[in-house]
Amino acid sequence: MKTALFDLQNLLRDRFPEAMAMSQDVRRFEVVQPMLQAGKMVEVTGMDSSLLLHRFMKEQACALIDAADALEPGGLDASTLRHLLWVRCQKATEAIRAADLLLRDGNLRTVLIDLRLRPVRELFALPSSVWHRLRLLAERGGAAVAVFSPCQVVACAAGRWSAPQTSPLTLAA
Amino acid sequence: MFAAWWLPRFVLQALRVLSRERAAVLEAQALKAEDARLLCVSETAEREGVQAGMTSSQAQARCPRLRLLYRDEKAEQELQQRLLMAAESWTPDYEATQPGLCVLDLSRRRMNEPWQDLGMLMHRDATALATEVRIGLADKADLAVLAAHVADPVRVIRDGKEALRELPMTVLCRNPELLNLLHLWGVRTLGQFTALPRAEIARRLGAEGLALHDLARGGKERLLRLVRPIQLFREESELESPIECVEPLMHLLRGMLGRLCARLAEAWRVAGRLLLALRFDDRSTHERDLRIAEPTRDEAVLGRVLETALEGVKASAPIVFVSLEIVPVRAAASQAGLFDQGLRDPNRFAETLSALEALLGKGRVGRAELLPSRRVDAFRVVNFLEAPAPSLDHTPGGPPLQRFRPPRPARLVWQDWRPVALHVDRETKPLISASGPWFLSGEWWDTQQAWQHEIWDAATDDGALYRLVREHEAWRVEGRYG
Repeated sequence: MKTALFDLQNLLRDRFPEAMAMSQDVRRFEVVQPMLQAGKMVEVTGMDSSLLLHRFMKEQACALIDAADALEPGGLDASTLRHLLWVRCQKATEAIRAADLLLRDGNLRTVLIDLRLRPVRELFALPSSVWHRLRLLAERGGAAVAVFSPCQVVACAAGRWSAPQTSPLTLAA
Repeated sequence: MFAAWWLPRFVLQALRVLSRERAAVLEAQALKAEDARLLCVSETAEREGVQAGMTSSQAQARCPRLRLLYRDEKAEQELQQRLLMAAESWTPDYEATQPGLCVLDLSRRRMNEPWQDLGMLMHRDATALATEVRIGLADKADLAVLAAHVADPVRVIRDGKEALRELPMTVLCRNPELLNLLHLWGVRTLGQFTALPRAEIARRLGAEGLALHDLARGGKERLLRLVRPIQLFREESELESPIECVEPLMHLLRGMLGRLCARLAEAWRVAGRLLLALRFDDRSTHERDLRIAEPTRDEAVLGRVLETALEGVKASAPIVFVSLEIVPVRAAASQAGLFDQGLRDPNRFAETLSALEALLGKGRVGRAELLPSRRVDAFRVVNFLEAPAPSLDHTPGGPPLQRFRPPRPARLVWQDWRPVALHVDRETKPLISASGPWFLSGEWWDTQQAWQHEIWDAATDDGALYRLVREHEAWRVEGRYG
């Protein structure tokens, strides 16, 4: 049993070296500036990450998959609004399906998934395979994917940053 | 060889006024009826001294029994259409030169009869559509037009110079001021006009004079501006057996697409938009206007667009009528939107957007456009593939807000005129600080749309910052900053 677990940890370390390394020392982006990486999926945890989300939305050919329909368009400048594809979802499953469609399409260079206002139990109910599938699609298509979540839900993220944690009001599942 | 068909006094003929009647047509309505000028005068009225350009009062002074009429543009269009249809029965190459005048190119027609006889045959054919038709035949288009003006009812001009010499200037020019000027110079016939030095005509009369000079000499060899019918790329089918599923509908639509794309290829066009219309057994309809991101006539691509558009369609009755129309565009002018140039495969992207819309619903996928209002959520979501509209002068300010849609009803506990606790969804959060109130209102001029908000920003003990709004005495949490 212990051997199998040890083998599994080594396998995960080989496949996802950065994620396994950062699980020991979660970086805070007050110190290190998070960056999008083409063909990779990164995760930003914590509720107070809107400034980073807005910065990522300035990328050209960008889609925001808004799992809680929470975007405030008045908070964005005109150039961001012009090139941002806004996908307004009501459930986490809709957001995953939308991400799947956009990553398979391959036309957009940046896909941002905002799950912060979804209930945590709804996010944990998602099978981990969905993240692996999205990661593979991002690798094949060369898109940069960033998942903004209230807590860590993407096990296979190539990079992870965290914002200060609070206990916010979230939407009912 | 060219033939010109001319309907003299076209405006009067459209009103079915006979030449023996004393009638005239007025120009557009003047402020006073007596100031309205005559546009067209019948032959009998002309013999009594009434001329085009006179005011109605002047005309009636000369001819008291003159009947004054107004133009009927619809009747003129119908008469012109009948004229062109009659011309098309003789040759597919014809020009709609002006209302009441068309020129036929008979160069591809085998001439089995003398020109005069051909003209008489044409005249017999054309009198079915108007009371007076004049036919002119010549080996140049402009010469044929001149011949038609002096035909009675058919005139053939072979030797242009000789035949035109004695023709009056009124055949060539309808401008009364120019005619008066030429009369003052002693120029009354085309022969006298062509005898004038060309350079002096250019100096005194300008480009108009030079054009008349060319016409007076028989005109130049010119190509006709041929009339080509507008081709409609549309197929429709009334179904004897109603369709209930998507598969047979797609099978039918693919067949239509195949035929329409073949016609597009013949016309050197590509599909810019697809217009799909379905009618159901319960008389309801479903219509879609699908823009093709990168215009194409690839059947497979267009088929996928249709298939994606039909994904979310649900109906309670079977389909009894299907119509598919393609709006063609030129392949060279295919890229319209600025953003289209950044996409690898615009057509595939359009399909993806349609699939997203089918998944999430209308208005849930696209580009956000701000509306000119301070109201909450004053924006609309537009089609991402359409070119963005000019943006409003907008400078975002303040910390970013995550909106709760819909806002969460809340109840506040107050102390010393400040909120100290927030009750929402059976959860109570103590407030460690609160800023406000700020008041915002708008559309006060409309009793239905007027709104007023009292806004507070409140921080909870766990570090979250919320926006609280009161409207109509009810509090709600509108969003969270951060």
